[in-house]
Amino acid sequence: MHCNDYRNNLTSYLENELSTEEKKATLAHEKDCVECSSFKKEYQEVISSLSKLAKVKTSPNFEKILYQKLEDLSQESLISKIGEMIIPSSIGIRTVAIGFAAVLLVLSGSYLFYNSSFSGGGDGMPVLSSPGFIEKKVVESSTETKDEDKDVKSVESEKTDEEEEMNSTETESIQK
Amino acid sequence: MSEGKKYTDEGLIARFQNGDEYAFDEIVNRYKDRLLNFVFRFIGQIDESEDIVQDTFLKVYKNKNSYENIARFSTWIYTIAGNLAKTELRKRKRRRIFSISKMGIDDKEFELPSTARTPEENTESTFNEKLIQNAIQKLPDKFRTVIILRDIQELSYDEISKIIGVPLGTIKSRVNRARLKLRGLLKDFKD
Repeated sequence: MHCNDYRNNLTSYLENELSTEEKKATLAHEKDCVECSSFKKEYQEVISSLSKLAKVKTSPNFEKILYQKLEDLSQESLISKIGEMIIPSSIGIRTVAIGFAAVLLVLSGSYLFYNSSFSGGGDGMPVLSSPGFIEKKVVESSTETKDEDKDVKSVESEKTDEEEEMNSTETESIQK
Repeated sequence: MSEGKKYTDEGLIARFQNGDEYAFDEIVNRYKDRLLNFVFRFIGQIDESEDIVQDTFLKVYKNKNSYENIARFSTWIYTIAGNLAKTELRKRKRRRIFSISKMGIDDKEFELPSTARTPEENTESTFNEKLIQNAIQKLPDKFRTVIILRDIQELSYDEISKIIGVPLGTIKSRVNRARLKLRGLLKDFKD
């Protein structure tokens, strides 16, 4: 057996986990190798020293601090639960936002309607849909049309005058 | 025998899951020192170790329903404490509060608990307390964990295997290698 094999199997050897054959070979190597025999002793001392290490104990106020931390934790979770009840989730936030926007829209629409009814034509209707406004608009447009007709007519009458003048000139020249 | 001692660990956590707060008190009573020894040997600072043990109990309290009776309760609670201890070590490394590799044997890289808190004095050991603790701190995490659980906490290989989450054979070989490394470190310190 090689020294490395012996040392790599030390745990199994000390915990009686080797087969009969392996144990026989290990014992034979240990008997012949002074270094490995000494190595085994040191190895056992390490294990023994670890098991004898002082056992630390928690401080006297360990529990007091722990239960204070637990109290803080339950208060934090209570606050977060209240928060969740108000705004349950991201979907909840969206719903609240949409609702708020809808209310805002209705309110602003009502406000415009309310304002318009008082700046309307005195018939309780908003300016643009007020019958008074529509009537006025119709009257205005018909007057404009008449004026345009007048203008057109005047051009035509001017034309008639010119034509008459030309006709009279033509008549004069024939007479001559 | 007190009321709580009638129950196994698994029985206690079951009672706690059903709303018995006294069962939690008994769990704290049973595990506070065991966990403190484990965490203290792992990170080397007694005050921080106590914080970690308290955080472990807070996690048990908060996540009591996460425990299922398919593993031993001790495996579950050691796993939580071990994970918190590792997280603390990672934080330390990031903060660069100390570097184990740069410190010599005489540097104060861990805090020995006061005698008032260590009633069981170690007088028969070949190596002194500080020497061993420094050597443990120099071991890589994976070797440190198994040697503490096996040789200080005296847990079975089977339980260590469940806590670490690696096969039994790997644990046995890892324990052997950890002991060999520790022996080497202690020999160097002595020389």
